[in-house]
Amino acid sequence: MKRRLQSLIQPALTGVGLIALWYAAIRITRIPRYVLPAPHEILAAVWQEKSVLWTSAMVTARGAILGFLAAVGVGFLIAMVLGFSPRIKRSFYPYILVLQMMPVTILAPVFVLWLGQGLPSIVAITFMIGFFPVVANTTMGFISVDRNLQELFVMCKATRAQEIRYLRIPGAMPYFLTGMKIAGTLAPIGAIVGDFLAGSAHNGVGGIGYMTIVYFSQLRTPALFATGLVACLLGFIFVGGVNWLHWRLLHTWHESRVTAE
Amino acid sequence: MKTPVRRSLLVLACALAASLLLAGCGDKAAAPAPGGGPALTKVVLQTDWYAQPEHGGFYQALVKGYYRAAGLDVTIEQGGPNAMPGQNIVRGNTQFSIGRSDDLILAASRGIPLVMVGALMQRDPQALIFHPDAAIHGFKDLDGRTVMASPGASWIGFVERKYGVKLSITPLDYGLSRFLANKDLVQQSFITNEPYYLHQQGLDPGVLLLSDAGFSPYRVWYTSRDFIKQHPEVVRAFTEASIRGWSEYLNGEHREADAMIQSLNHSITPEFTTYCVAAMKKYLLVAGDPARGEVIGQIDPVRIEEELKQLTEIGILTQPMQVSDVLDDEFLPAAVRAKARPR
Amino acid sequence: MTNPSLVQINRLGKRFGDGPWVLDGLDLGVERGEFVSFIGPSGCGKSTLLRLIAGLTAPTQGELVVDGMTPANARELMFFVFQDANLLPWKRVAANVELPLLLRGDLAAKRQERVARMLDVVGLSGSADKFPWQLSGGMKMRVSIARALSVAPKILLLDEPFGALDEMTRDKLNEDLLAIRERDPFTGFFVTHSVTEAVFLSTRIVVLSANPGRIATTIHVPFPYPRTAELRETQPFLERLAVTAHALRAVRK
Repeated sequence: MKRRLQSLIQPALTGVGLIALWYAAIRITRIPRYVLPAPHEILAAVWQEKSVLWTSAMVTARGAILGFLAAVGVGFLIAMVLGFSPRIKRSFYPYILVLQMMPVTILAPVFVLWLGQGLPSIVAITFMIGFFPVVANTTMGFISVDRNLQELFVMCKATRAQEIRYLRIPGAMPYFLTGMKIAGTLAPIGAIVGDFLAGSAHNGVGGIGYMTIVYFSQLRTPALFATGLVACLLGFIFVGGVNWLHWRLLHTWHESRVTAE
Repeated sequence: MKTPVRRSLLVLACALAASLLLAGCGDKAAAPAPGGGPALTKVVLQTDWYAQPEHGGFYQALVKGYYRAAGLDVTIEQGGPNAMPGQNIVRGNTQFSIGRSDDLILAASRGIPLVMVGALMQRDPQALIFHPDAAIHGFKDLDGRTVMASPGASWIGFVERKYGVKLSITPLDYGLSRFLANKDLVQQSFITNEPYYLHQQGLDPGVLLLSDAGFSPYRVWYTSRDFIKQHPEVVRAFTEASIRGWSEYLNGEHREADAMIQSLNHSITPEFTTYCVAAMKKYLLVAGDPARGEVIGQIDPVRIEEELKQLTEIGILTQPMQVSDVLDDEFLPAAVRAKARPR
Repeated sequence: MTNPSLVQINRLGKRFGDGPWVLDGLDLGVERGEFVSFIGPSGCGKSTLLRLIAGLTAPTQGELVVDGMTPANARELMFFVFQDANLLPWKRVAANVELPLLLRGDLAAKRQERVARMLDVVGLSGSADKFPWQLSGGMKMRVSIARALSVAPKILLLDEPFGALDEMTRDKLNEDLLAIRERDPFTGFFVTHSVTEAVFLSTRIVVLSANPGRIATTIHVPFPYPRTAELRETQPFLERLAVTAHALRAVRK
């Protein structure tokens, strides 16, 4: 109980200290409000823009969730194919790397031309940003099966399909979930970037990336920071959700969860 | 248990102090004191984009020596997508910059002390382009359309409000491939620019000039309030020479200026320059409408007053502002200055 | 000509790639119902020999016949108990034990029944729903044995299964293993470092020398089954211990 309290109090104290520093910095440097607003101004902007921020958070969240699911689902399938055949892996892995390295800003217009602006392109961009960790980690998981367990399956005269279903897929789960966690942290960022490059807005309200441009161009810096705050919150919720999923799927058997008890 | 917290606070404080110190060292020297005698005053003009014919008058004044004759050693710096011209002026890195009057009003309302002193265009060259068979004949026909534009731009709120239309905005990517691929897309562009390139691709777009909607910011050159206070004669000299340069660029021979522009920006061709200048003339962008008393360089306080009202009505301008907060037209030659005064 | 031996090894040799010969020129015949232990210094190839019999690796040279077939074809007759319990960490104990049955296509009801019986035999009926991480080392090994027994193998191969356990647990598991064999007989192949274990369990002990692995000597252990804990304190047992230890020392030079 005492430790719980400590783990809440310490960050809270630090937070208060940081905010105090913030005010001091503004006072000392006399930095203009349109460059760095004060915390209370940002909170005021949050309140003032709350319905816009809520809508834009929902837009971004939708893109992030769909893009995340695509990255995880398609990523898993790609990893299965790569893990299944070393020859396929050697042939295709370099090109997957190329896709990963290609800056999203170059791919975005291509997506928009194919898919149209708004949600489809945002999902595509989020997918591009998030799928590689899933593929890389999960492929590793499929390949790194314990040698002894493989021999166990040989002794059981298991077919290749059985080995994949009962050994490789469950064995790859911890790796897959690690990749999923990484994709989870990237998905909100991907959706915001996607929004930036290929978003769509109605009644002046778009996703978080879109609102960033609006507030920036109108020099509404407190609102800009408020948007940043909302983006952070969205990120936390997302990562929290994925972490919960990680715990749920692994806690019964895996050391990483067991030692955390 | 408390020591790690104290220590991390101390580290934070040191980091902050260090960054403040570094930030404080950013104050560059302003232009040197106006000298009497032969020494020219160094002045930097930052344009709002890469060198293009839409900046022609300044290059004309430069190559023809009008600035030099006025005692100024002018350097023209190109702007670009992420340039922060207002910041450069406030910090003293540059002395003049080009922009739109509504952007300047917004900046001033946030406390950035910028003031416009002369106009290079009486009419905003921004226009909406669309495919010829998109069935758009006026702003009312834009209702429900997808428009690629700058998110948060003032004209959006203005047009939506005035014509009662709802637009679906997608961020501008400054390219033309999406426009070419999508027959239903409407795009924000410059009347002096995109139609030329589309024509080369075999497409002559329909055009709606934004200023025809009733919202027509000036394209101005501006400086800081401090600079006006400290060097009014420099402002006057620069303004007069620039107006002279624009007048000549529009109506006279301007091959040398064009050559300079082309050397700075290799994507500008002579054919494009011809088109651009023709468009500037056709749409009365630089010279304005003589019937309304508009002249090259003029900024009419009545129009600025109107602009303040419009910006307030669409909710972008939230501070009460006076024309004198953003405009100082006393540096314009008497023949150019508008006759009527607001209020 | 029918060969009476269950497992017949002729001039068996094994090397990995271009490496040194791990085993060289082994001849061995093992009858049905025997319990053969392989002991020897490190590097003598005893684990490799076990794996060759199991068909987990192929001979480089020579012949290895299990019940008249190649080891790969004879897999249905055999099962392997690994050095590590080798359980699937994501499955509970019962699911681990039923794995071979599941993979060979037995129906659920039959599997359940067999698993319950095997857990009873190794004394883990109460742990059917636990996960491997919840079990001690000895318990995990018993699950591994239960799994191996679930297919009622004619030949059971065990690769130092009790090596990681303390002596008391090891002795107990040795007794349990023999008790299981009493009820459901199998021919046993056992690799160990422990001389006591080898003598207690086996009908025959094969001592291997190293570099390359060759059969140095064979020691018979004529004690009758069932063997109990008391056997370890008898004079004949201690005598066999001494003989075996001596043979091992001789091979170490």
